[in-house]
Amino acid sequence: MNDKSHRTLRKKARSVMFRMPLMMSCSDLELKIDDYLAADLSWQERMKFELHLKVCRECRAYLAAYNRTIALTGALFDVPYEQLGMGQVSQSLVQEILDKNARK
Amino acid sequence: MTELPHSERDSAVLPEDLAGFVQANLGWMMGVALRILMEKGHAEDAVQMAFSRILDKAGDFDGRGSLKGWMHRIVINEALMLRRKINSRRELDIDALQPQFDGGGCRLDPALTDQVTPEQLLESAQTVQAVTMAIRSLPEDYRIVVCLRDIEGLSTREVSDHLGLSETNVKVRLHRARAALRTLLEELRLEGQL
Repeated sequence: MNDKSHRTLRKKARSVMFRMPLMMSCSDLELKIDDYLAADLSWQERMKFELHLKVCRECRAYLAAYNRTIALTGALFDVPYEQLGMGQVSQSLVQEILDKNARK
Repeated sequence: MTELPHSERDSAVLPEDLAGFVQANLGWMMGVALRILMEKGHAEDAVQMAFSRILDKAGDFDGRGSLKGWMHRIVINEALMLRRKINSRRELDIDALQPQFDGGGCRLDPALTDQVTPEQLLESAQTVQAVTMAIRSLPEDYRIVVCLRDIEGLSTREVSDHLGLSETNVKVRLHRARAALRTLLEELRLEGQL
């Protein structure tokens, strides 16, 4: 069996499997990702979600990349201003702030 | 982080205290404003306004939360107020960046894995630039949600209040923004830029 027919067969098997009771499709999983990550799913939904992950490597990889994206984005919070590509904070700005507020 | 330059409510601000206070907080406040406004000039304006607000309202800080948290909310408020006055810019099509499924609901994305932590990745200036640019390229309605929620750490409720959106709408935009960012960042990773 060549690669293409193997992929087609696998795709068909997944499609049938995801229509079985207690299973959800990849597109259903997509809609529940944020609730899953926020632990907002009921235990039944969580079980279905995790069952899908066990049998779907594409969704496992997708979820890993999705998580990684959130972590990468969140890590920007700790990046100092000087590394944001805008140079140093201008000293004239410090003086402007001081001048504006000195007499308050 | 230094103390507010007021020893007590309504007391005078000492110039030397004010200078130290501004110096100690300017960097991180510029970072917050820049992430929201994306232009240095706008960020400087927002930070100036934020300092004025902080010093005007110093007596309102009740000490229950952290001082930095209180100041963080003020910078965000000022940056968002300024943002409302700023015009739009070129944006990507968010629909084109959403995950793809076949007729049976099966995912069509290629399988990808990750090996290094985000903190390790962001040690590189090139990566910081790449992630920053990816976020900037999102449509503004989506970018601001991901910025406030995932970078600044506001709750869905707080983002909803700031932007005048329903919580459901915030969640939908956040998910679409995250999915689009995932596509953009994975593309960069495949190109070896991350």
